[in-house]
Amino acid sequence: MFKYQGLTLLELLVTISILALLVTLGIPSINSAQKRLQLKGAAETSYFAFQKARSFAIAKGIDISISFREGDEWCVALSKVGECDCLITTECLVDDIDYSVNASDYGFISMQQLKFGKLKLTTFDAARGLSIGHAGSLVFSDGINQLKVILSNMGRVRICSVGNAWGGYAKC
Amino acid sequence: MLNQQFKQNGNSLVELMISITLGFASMTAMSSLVGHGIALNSQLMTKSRLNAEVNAVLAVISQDLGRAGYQAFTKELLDDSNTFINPFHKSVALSEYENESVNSCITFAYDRNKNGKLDVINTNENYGYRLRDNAIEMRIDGLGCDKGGWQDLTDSSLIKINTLSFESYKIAHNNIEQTRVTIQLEAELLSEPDLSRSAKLSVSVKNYD
Repeated sequence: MFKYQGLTLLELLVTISILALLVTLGIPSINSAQKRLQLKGAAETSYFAFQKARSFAIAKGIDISISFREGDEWCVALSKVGECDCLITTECLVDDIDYSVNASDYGFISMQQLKFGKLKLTTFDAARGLSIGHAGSLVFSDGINQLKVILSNMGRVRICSVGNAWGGYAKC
Repeated sequence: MLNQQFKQNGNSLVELMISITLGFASMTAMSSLVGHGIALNSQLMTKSRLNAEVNAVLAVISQDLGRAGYQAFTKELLDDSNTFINPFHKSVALSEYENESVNSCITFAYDRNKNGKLDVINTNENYGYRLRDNAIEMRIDGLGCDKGGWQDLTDSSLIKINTLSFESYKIAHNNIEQTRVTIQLEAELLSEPDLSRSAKLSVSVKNYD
């Protein structure tokens, strides 16, 4: 005669509390991984926006500008009309197409230390895709890590990590 | 009906262990899949950066090189070619920086401000590109190939340029001679040397004979 006995309430409670403990420990790490991924995403997408602006300037033979807005409601947008508000998608366009990156896709990320002059604008020149006189930098932060996107006068864009080397990016 | 005497309540230990094992196995499979996805995404990103960098540099060099020899007063030059001298004539020259590979530096000039003269103050109309220390540099203020002070065009913390070479040649099409310059470039990612990109591009120098 076999008599199988199921789980008692106590056993069930122990199991549930262990699970709860594991989940509580796991969530912050999942959360921070997600933040890091978003941080990388924001920096990389902005990097490609800069490169796109540079290629457009050369290929189309027109000056291409990038407008910025810092803070939590940050945005980066290409335009061929110069200064524009990157939060308004119909304002910053290149041949009627919107090439913008903004905070709505990167909820955890904020943009800080925007250094692109008073106008918060940079321009790639039509002839050689250079940004002479328009060099600058900006920093993306997820609250812990920071990635800096730097544009040189030569139109060269690079990403580096503020503080320590991290996520494959060298220290600034 | 024969086994009526077995009364089963809940899970046995064996069943519990099997289900835990299965659970763990599926969790491991899922998390490794996610991890693989993230790693692949990050690799693709870096690879795209290599591509973007190489494309941008090639675009800059080829567009600029295509203008070599341009002089704004074409009509005057054609009307009176004896007295009017084109200072941009035959300005394309190949050489290299010390200890760099042969023909890895190109210099040329064109009439950027369309005044017919070769300016060297304010706007210096002497342009050039070269390879130095595994990076591509842009000529500043008309400095020679053997001089320092050129500016980097590529990010040496991201990519390493292994080859940059220029070759100038002439082709004749319907008895019209045309100068062309071939640019050859090979770059690799510093973080992943296995990922490299090579490109070869031929540019027509229209204002040149």
